[in-house]
Amino acid sequence: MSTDTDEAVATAVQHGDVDAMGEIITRYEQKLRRYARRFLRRSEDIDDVVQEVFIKCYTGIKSYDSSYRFSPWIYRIAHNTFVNELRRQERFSGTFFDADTILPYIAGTETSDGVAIEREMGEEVETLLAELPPKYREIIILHHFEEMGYQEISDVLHIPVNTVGVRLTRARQKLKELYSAKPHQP
Amino acid sequence: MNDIKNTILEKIQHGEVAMRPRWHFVLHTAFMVVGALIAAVLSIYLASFILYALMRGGLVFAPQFGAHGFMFFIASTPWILIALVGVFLGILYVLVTKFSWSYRQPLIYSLIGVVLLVIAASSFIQYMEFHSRVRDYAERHGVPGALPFFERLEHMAGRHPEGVTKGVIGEMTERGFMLITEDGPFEVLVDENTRRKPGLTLEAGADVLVFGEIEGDVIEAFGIRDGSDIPPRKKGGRDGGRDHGPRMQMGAPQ
Repeated sequence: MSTDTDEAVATAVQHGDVDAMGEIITRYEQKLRRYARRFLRRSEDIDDVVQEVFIKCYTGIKSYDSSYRFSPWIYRIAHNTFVNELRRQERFSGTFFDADTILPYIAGTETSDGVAIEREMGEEVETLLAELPPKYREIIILHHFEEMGYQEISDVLHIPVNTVGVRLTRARQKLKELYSAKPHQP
Repeated sequence: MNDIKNTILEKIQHGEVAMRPRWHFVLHTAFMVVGALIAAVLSIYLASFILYALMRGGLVFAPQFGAHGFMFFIASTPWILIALVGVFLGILYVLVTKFSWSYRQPLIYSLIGVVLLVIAASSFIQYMEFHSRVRDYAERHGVPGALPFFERLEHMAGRHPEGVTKGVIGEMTERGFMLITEDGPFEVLVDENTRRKPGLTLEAGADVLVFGEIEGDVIEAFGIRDGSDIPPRKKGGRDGGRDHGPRMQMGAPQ
């Protein structure tokens, strides 16, 4: 495996290095499969969707600006592809205007409360995620499973950084409500 | 797991998948920039035109005459053109959100910015009398199609709203006064419900703007103000010869 940065590998692809594209696939296939499986709530046909992401990445690589990080760029392509897939399945009720992105919010920060909730829920989080609306499910996946920071999520979802904090808090709240509503083993 | 990698690399090597050239993205961005500029210019042009028409037609003064005047203003406002401005602003919004920098701040800031820009630019254009100059130029030089287009737009924007009549007081009568207009004379009924702009003296020869419903040759005025700052309607325009029925034959004011 090459020790070059993602940005350097992407630049090599831009210059026609096909092997470099192979390197990008090696680095991101696992991550995108995991993201797709959790966001799309299915395990079958994941190959097709992930393959579509890489093809879009290759065809659009010349629009990538290597002065920015590569990871949010490819995750942005994945986000758009997965949202289209959800729309195709008529599961996504996302609206054109999202009030969260219109109004300004005070910056949110990571709270121990959020971490504690997920620790308390343990493995049940995975099951409960499926019941969350897509926009809340996705932000939990990106922050807690893909371990992205607020700025990175902002770049992937194209929403203001402060909105990331607000949406994450709401997603946790909904997760907590779902958890409380479920019967648990003593 | 290597299936995806092999499949994609094979497709690339066989030319089934190809990179889009850089100019494709440059062109795409250029189209969006041009589209956003056109939407911005059209929004500003239309908004300033509405402002121009409301000012020159006198409709903008209607709310000075209480609830009646306010309701008249609301009813006569060119909502279709205002909706059209909204459509262009919507297109501008969509195009702006396509740019990668637009999401970094809450969209309310962008929206407020766009609205303030349109208001400021429209007010400036109105202040510079841009539309009057364009109209005069089209009229003097006979630019093909320009004047009919301009007059049509003026009509739509409420430049000559029904119920706002400019003229000169011919003579005072028991019920009010006779108003001499370019469309002929009207009898204006003035009663205790008719509001006047403070300081306005109704006397023969006064240039006035009368607000009120026209019934044949009679105007039941709910408001009257000085009309010297409102230019007369140009004759020969689209609605320049509108017919309000038979007119009383009146002489011009002395």
